[in-house]
Amino acid sequence: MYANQFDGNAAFSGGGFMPSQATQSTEQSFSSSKNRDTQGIVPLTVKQLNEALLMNSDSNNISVDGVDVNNVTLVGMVFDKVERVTDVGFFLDDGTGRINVLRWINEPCDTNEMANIKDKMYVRVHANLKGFQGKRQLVAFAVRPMTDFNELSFHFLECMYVHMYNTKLRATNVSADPQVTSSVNGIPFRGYQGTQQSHLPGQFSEMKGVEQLVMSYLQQPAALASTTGVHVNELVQRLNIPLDQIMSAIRFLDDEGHVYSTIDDEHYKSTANA
Amino acid sequence: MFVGRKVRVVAQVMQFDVGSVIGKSIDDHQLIIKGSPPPHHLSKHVEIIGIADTSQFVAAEIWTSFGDNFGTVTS
Repeated sequence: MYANQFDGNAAFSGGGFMPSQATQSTEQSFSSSKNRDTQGIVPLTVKQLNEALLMNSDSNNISVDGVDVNNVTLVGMVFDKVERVTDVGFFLDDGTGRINVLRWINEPCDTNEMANIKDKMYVRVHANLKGFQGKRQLVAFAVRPMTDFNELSFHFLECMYVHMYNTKLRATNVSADPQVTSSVNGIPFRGYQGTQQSHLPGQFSEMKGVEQLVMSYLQQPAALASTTGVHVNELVQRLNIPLDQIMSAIRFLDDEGHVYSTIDDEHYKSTANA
Repeated sequence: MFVGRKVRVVAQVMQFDVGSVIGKSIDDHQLIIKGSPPPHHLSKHVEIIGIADTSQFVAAEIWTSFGDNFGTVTS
């Protein structure tokens, strides 16, 4: 997707690490971080996670509300912190349950981060569900003390929102990657990401083709994340549809409440997650 | 309903008493929190985890200062 002029082979020649396909992409060459970057982070309660681990103990994928999860974020109180040579383990209790969390210590910054974490302290955990010796484990890649406790309330509200959103999507039979992820840290919601299939809710079935194409374009993550939305000329160029048809579709969608104008009458955004 | 069970409550600290702290819950009910608060300064809002003796008394086990701006809207 991202053409890169950087010649990785020349830069790293003679070194012990030779990134593969370095000229192909600007994405991370470390497999674990690359996997993290391509997947959203889902806010969950400990109870949701424990139930998902129990229900999916035999399968390779963990799913919550019908959505595959890999990276999760939780908040809770630390209990029984144990420091070992290569890792730190603790239990996270958020009032809905307790779960064991592991944080590998690879670098001094990891040690410093975990040294600040004490028992009975509220923390925010960003973690990955990794398989280890045949069972899934919560492996944290960031553990941060909570400083503003409104974050605690926010997290539970976000868990509720994501749960409602995902279960509502299942109820309306929306297909393909309906995962809703956290808006903390600026990662956009991915309810409409990365698919060419129709991911529009049932009420869009009455739209004409042009309107559906316009909605599909406006519901891409980049368009949803943009504050100014998409210019109508961009729609004309990308969809290869004449301007008058685009504007007719926009007017219809605007009247129906599916899109709205932003900075002027030529920029529009989808009302999804507005 | 929660009497005798472990509860978690956020209260606004109103007054310190001997062996207890008098607080106000979010729904404006008086709460008497039994136990000694931690030695460090308690903020205006605290979370108490403990056993509810009655609907007004909580025997605190864990105190957490939630700051002075908990639940408020800041501009």
